[in-house]
Amino acid sequence: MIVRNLLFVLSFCALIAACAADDLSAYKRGLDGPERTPKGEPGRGDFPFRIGDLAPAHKPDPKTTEAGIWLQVEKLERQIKTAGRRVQIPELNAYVESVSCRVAGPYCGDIRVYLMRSPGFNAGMYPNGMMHVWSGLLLRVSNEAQLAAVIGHEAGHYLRRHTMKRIRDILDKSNSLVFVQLVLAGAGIPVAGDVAMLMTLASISAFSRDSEREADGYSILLMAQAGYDPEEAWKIWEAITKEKEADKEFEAPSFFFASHPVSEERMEALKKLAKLVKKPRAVDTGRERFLKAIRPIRRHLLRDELHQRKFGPFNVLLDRLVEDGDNVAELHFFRGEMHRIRNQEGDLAKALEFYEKARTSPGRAPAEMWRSVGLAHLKLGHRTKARKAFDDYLRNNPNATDGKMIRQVIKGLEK
Amino acid sequence: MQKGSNFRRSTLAFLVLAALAVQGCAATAHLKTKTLPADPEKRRIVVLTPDVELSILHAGGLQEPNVEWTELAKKHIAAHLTKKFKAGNIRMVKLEQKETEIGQDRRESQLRKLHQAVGHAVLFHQWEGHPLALPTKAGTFEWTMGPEIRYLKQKYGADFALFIFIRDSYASSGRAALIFFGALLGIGIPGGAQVGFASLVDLETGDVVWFNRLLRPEGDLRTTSGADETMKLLLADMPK
Amino acid sequence: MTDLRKSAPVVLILLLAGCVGFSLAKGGQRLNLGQGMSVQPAEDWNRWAVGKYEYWTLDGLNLQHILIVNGAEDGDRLTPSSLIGHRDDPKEAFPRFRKGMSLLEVRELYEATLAREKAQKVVVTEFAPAKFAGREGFRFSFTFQNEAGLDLLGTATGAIIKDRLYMLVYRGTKLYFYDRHKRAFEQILSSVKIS
Repeated sequence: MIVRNLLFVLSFCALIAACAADDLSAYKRGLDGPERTPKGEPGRGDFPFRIGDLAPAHKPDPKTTEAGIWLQVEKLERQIKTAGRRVQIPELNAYVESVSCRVAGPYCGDIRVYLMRSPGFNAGMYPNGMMHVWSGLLLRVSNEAQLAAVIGHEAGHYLRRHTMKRIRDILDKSNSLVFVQLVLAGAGIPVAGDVAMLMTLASISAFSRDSEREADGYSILLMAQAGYDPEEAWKIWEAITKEKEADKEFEAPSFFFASHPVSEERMEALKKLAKLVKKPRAVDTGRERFLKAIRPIRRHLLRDELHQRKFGPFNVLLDRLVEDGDNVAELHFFRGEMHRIRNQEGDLAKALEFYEKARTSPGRAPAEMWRSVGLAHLKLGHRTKARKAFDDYLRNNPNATDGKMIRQVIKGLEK
Repeated sequence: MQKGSNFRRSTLAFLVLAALAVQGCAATAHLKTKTLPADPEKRRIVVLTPDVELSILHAGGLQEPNVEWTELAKKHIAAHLTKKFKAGNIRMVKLEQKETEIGQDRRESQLRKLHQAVGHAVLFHQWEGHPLALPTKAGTFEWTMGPEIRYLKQKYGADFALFIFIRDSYASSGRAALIFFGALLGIGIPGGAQVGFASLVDLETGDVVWFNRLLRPEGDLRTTSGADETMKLLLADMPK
Repeated sequence: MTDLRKSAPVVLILLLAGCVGFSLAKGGQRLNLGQGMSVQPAEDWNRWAVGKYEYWTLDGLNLQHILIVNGAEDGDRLTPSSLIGHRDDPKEAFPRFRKGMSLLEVRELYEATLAREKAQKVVVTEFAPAKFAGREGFRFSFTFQNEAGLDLLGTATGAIIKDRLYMLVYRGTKLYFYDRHKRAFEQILSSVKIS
C-alpha cells in the first residue's frame, strides 16, 4: 500500500465521496437553494429529488475520465476484499447486503457494501459502486431504517455520480489554480499562492455540500420506496451532534469552510423531506432485525471506541445506547471500563458501581468483567475484594489466556 | 478521520519519495545472479499480472489514469515479454487466473501479500548511502520471501515469478503550456514521468534474485517501439 | 492526506540534513541505550532510535522488527508518534502509560496502542509472568493483521521498574520472518540490563 499511496496521493484524495460525519457542513445552504433534479426529468410533484437517468449495470466508456478512475478503484476493491480492515462475519455481511439491496432496488447489483472495522461514524461511496460502511456506524444507528438512511445517502452519491463530478471539479480548479500560483511565484509572492489554494478548497467544499444535500434527498426517497419510515433519517443526526459536542478535541471548522449549527439545518431539511415524500402504506423500522444482527459484534465495536480514549463522546454514545435499552448489562460494563481506564478522581469507585449495575441489569456483561472488577479493587487497595474478583474471573473463564498472569497477581495478594 | 492515523505509513511513503529524489536514478538494478539454470526444464517463469497504469498529467499536477493507453501498454508489454522469453529460451507460464480468484486461496493470497511487503522492504531499504539503507545489508542484495513460496511453484508450475509495476504519465497540453511559461520565469516544473520496478523471485528458495527500479522523465509505453525501449531498460540485467 | 502534505518538507529537510537514519548495532558489543538500559546483540542489527523508543530490524521494518520502549513514564505512549522526531502532544487522546499501572493493564494498553496503529483482528494468545532484566515482569503473545491483511505475530515482554515501563516487542510476518529471527530476538532479550 505504501507505494500505491505514494503514487496516487493526488488521485486518491478525490476518489471517495465525502460523507456523513466528515461533512456536517452539507446543509449550510439549507433546502431552499437552487433545485437540483436529474437531467431530462423535470421536477414534478412535491418531492425535489428523483432517481436519475442512470441505467442499472452502468459501465463507463473507456475513453472517459470515469473509466480511468474505475480502473484504479477496481484495483482497490480487489485489495479490499482480503484487507485486514474488512469485517468478515458471514451473517452480518449478509444482513448489511440485504438492507442495501432493499434500499437500492433495481441498482442492487451495482452497489457492493463492504463493512470496514473502524471506530467512528462514517460511510463512503466510490464511483464504481463500492461502498464502505464503518463498523462504528453500527453503534450509531438504532435500527434498520436508520442504516437504510445511510446506505440510501451513499447510493444517492452513486446514482448522481457525485464523486465523478467532484473529481472533474477538482481537476478543473487545480488546473486553473496552478497558473495563478505560477504568476504569483514569478512575481515573488509565494504566500499568496496558499491563499488561492485555500479559496479553491473552499469552493470544492461548497460543491460537496450541495452533493451531500442531494444525497440526503435520495436517501429519503429510497427509504420511502423500500418501505422504511423516512422519519428515522433525521434522528441519526441528533445523536451524532450530541456526540460531536462532547468531543473537546474536535476542531471547530475555520470560517472558510463552514459554521455551526449545520447539523441542525440538516436535521430540519431531513424532517421537511420526510414530510414531503410519498410514504409507503406500511412503514417499518426493522429494529429487531438490526439488533439481532449486531448483537454478537457490539462489544468488540464498543472496545474499538474505547481504544480511542475519547471518554466524553464515548459516554454520550453509551447514554444513547442505554436509553435504547438493548443488553444494558453490557453497556454498564463499558461505562465501568470507561471510568476505570480514565482513572481520574473518583473514577474507580464509579467504575465499581457500574460493574455492579451491569451484574444486576438485564442482558449479559462479558465474562472479562470480573477481571476489571479485580483491577479496580486492586488499584483502590481493596486486597480481599480484588482477590475474590480475580478468583471469580478464573472460575468464569477456566481457559483464560491470561490465567497464569492472574494467578500470579492472586498469589501476590495472599501475602 | 483521526489525525495522524496514517502518519507512519505516509512518513514511509515520503521517505521513499525523498530517497528517489536524492538518488535521481534512471534505472538501478540489483542482482543476486546473472543467469537462470541451464536446464530448459528449470527455466519456467510465470509473469504475475503486470500492475500498469498510464495517466495524463494535468496542469495542476493531478494524474488522471487513461484506460485506452493502459490497455495499449499492457498489450505492448505482453508482446515484448513473449519475444524476449522466446529469444532467451525461457518458457513463459501463462497464469490462467482471474485476480478475484486469488483471494479465495488464502495461502496464495498471503504469499502475494508477503511478496508485496518484501517488495516494499526493498524499495525502502535498498539505497546505498541513504539514511534508510540498512547497514547490515550494505554492499549486498539479500532479500528473500522464504521457502513457503514453493506452494506457488507447484500451483503455477514455474521456477521463477516475474513482477512488473509501472506508472507512466504524460503531460497534458495545459501542463506543457505551464512548463513553457515556467521556463520563461525560470521555474522548473516537472512533466510526465516513468516510475516502475520489476523483480524476479526464485520459487524454490523465495530469494529475490533480481530487482530493478526505473525513474525517468521520458519513455512512452503507448507505442510498440517506445514500449520495447522502456522494457529493455526495465528488464536490463534480468538473469538470462 | 493532509498529513502527507504537512510532513513532506520536514521529512525532506531532516533527511537531507542526515538527522535520522539507521545505524549499526555491532554484534558482540554491549550497547548503552541511555536511561540505564543496555543490550548486547550477538549479531549485527540495524537500529533506528527516536526518543525513548528504538526500532531494530534485520530484514526491514515491515517484515520484522523489535520495538524497545526504554523507560516510558507517566503520560508516555508505547510507540513514538512518528519515526522522524517523536513530538507528542500529551493532550491528544491516545492510550498512555500511567504511573501506578499494573502489569495487567500494560497488556490492555498495548492492545489499545495496536488498535490505534490500525492493526486488525488482534488476538492475545498467552499472557504470563516472565523475568525481564532480572525483574518480575510479564510476557504476552499476540496475532494480528496489517491493513493489507497480511498475518503477523508478536510477543511483548517487559517490566515496570521505579514507575517506568521497559518493554521489548518483537513482531514479524507469520510467513517466514517472525520465525526467522525469533532466536536473535530472544538472545537480545536475555542480554537486557537495566541499572
